[in-house]
Amino acid sequence: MRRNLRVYVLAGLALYLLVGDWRAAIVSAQLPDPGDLGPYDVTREEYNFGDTAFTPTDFADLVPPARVEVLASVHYPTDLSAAPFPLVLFLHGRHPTCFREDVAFLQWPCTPPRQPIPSYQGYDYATELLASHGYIVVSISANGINARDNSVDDYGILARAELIQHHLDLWAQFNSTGGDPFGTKFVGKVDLNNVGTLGHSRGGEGVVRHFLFNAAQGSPYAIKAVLPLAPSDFNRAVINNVPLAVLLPYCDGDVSDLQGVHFFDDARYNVPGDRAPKHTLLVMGANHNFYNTIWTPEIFPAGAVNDWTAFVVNGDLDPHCGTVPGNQRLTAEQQRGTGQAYFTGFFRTYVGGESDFLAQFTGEAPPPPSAMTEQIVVSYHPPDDPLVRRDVNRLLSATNLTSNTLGGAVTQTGLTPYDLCGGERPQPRHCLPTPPQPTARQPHTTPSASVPQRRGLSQLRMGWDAASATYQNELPAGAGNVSSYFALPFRASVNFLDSRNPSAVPQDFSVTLTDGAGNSATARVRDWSAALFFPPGQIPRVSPGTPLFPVPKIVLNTIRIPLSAFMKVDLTDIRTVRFDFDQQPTGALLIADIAFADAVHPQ
Amino acid sequence: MTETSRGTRPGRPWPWPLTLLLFLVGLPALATAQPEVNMIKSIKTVRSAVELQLTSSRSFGVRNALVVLRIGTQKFTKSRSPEDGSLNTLIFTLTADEFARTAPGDRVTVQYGDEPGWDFGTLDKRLLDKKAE
Repeated sequence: MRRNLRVYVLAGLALYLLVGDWRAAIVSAQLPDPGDLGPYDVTREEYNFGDTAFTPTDFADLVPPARVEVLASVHYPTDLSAAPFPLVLFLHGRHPTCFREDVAFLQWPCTPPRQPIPSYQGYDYATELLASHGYIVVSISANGINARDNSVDDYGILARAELIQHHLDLWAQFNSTGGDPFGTKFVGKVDLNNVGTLGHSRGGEGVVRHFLFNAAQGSPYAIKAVLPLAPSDFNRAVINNVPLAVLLPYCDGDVSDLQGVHFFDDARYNVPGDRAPKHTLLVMGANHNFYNTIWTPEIFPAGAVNDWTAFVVNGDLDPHCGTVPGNQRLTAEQQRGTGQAYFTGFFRTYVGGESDFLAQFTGEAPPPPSAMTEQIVVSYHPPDDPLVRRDVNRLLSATNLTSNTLGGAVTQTGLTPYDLCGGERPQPRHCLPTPPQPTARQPHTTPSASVPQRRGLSQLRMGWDAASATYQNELPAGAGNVSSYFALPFRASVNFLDSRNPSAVPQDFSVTLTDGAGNSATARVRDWSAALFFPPGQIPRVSPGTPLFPVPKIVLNTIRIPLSAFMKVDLTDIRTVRFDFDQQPTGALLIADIAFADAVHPQ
Repeated sequence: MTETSRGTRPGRPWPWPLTLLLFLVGLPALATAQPEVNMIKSIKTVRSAVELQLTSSRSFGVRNALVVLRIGTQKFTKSRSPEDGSLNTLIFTLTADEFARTAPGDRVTVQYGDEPGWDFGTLDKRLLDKKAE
C-alpha cells in the first residue's frame, strides 16, 4: 500500500510536470488507490439450492421447460459486527456450461461425469477485494440460462434479471429471518438499501434489465450503481436515475462492436432532471474474457480462450490487439488489475458514498496504480442539474449546426464536412461509409439485434484543410456566467478513416473562451487530455478477401478542460466558446456533448 | 443432405519460399490436413415450427455475441445446442412462415455479426421431414 501511494504521488508529480496543472497533480497525489486491500478480513462461502431450483418466466414456455440453478459464491467481512454492509452482486456472461477434462459443452444440467464450469467463481479476484472494504459480494451462477437463452425472444436478458431478483429475495430472507445454509449469520447484517450490480457481457445487459425489473416491482431493493462490463445490448433498454459505468475493452473479440456503449449514449438526455452520473471506461489493450479467470486460458482447462485471437480472423496480426511485436495487449493479470481498480472504485463511490475515487471516473485523475495500465480513457456525463451541468450544444439535430442548446448562434469557418451523423433521420445512419467499414468499428451506431432500426449517437462530423478553421458556439444573454462550473467537457474522437489525420499521430486543437469585454483565453486540448489519440489497429485488410478487423474503432471520449486553465477572462460573462483547429494543419473529428460542468472544487 | 467443405479460414499472405518449403518437406502432413466439413443434418417440422440441425467439424463457439443463421437475405437468431451439449451442432428454429419464405437454392451460412463464419452451401427444401437414410 505504501508503495502504491508513492507511485501515485509520483504519477501526480509527473502529471504536474506534463501539463502544469497543480489541480490535477494534487488530485492524483492525494488519492488513495481503490485497488488496495481494505481493512476487513474476508470469508468466502457458497450457497447452492440445486441445478433446477428456479424457472425464469419465459423459460417455462420452452419445450421441455428449462430450469436453472440457484448457486452463488459470497465474500463478506469475517467480522460482521460493523454490519449492516452494502451488497454488491456480480453476474457472469455467456460461456460453455459443462466440461469433461479439456472438452466444453453447452447443456444444463450437466450429464455426469461432466461437471459444471464455475463461471461465477471467475471474479473472486475482485469480489474478495471489494469485500475487504466492507461489502457483502455475491457472484451468482447462470449456466442454466446460458444453455437456453438463444431460444427466447430477448436472448435470456429478462431471465437474468429475474434470477438476480431471486437471489436478492434470498438475501432479504437471510437478512430478516435467516435460512439455510447460513442460519442466522446474516440476520440484520445486509443493507439492501445499498445494492450495486455488475454484469459481464450478456450479464451486463442483464443488470441493466434488472434495474428496470426491480423498479417495476416497486423497487424492493435500492439499486445504487450499475456496472455493465463488456456488455451486449440486444434490446436497447435504457436506465436513468442510477449511476452507470460501462466498461468497454478495446480489443474485445466477442462483443467486438462494443454495443454496450449505447447504455451510456441512450441515457444521456433521456430523462430530464436525471441526477445520476454516467461513465464509460475504454480500456485499451483489454479483451473480453480475461475479466473472468475461469474464461482465461492456462487458468481453467476447458472452454477458455483469448477471444481476440480465437474469434477475430487473423487477429493475431493486428498491431495493437494482436500478438505481433510491439502490440499493446494487456496481460490477463493487468486486465484483472483494471477490474480491481475500477469495479472497486465505482462501487465504493456510488454504493459506499466515498468521494476519493470520483476523479478517476471523470478523467480528472489518471488510472490508479492498481489498474496496472495508464491506457484507460473515460467519458463522463454529469447529472442533469443546472448547478452541475449547463449544456452548450448537445448536437442532436441539424438545428444544432446553426443554433445551440442554449439558443446561441453556431458558426464555423473552413470545416468540411460539417454535418451530423449517427443520430435520428435524416442523419446518415453511420459516420463512416458502411459497408465497407464494419459496424464493429463504429460502436456508437452499431445496430442491436432486437431493434436493428434504432439509431445511435448523433455526432458532429467535421474536418479541416487549413489551420485557420474554427467552430464557435455563442452563449446567449443570461447563459454566460459559468463561474460556478469547474470544467468545459466535450466528447470527441479522431476519425481514423479521414486521411487528413496523419496515421498514428494524436490530434490537437485550441479552445478559446471570450468574455463580454473582448478578453480571450486559450487552452490546448493536448495539455488536458489524451482523448484525441489516433485509434490503434490495422486499417486495411491483411490481404484481399479477408475481413477488416474490428479495430480501429471510433469511441468518443471526454475531453475535460478545467476553467482554471482560462486565465484573464471574466467567467461571469463568457460570450463564446470557440474551437480553433490551429494545432495541426489538417484533421477530422467527431464531436458530441459540449457543456460546462461540475461545481467548482472547494479550495 | 447438404454438405460443403472448405479449407482453413482465410489466411494471411504466405511468402512463396515458405510455400515451396512446405510443399517439399511437409507434403505428407498437408495431405492429412482435415478440411472443415459443414452439413445441414436435418430439417424437421416440430410442432408448428421448423428446426434446422447444422453440424460442423469446427465447433460453434459459445459467445455472448449473437449467432445468426442466414438463408439468402433472411436472418434467424433462435437457436440452441443439442441435448448432448455438443458444440459442433446448432439447431435453429424458424416459424413455418419464416421457412416458407426461404427459397430452394438460397445460400445457408452461420455467423457472428459481420464476421465470416460457416458455409453450409445451398438450401435443399426437399430435406424437410426426410428420414435419415
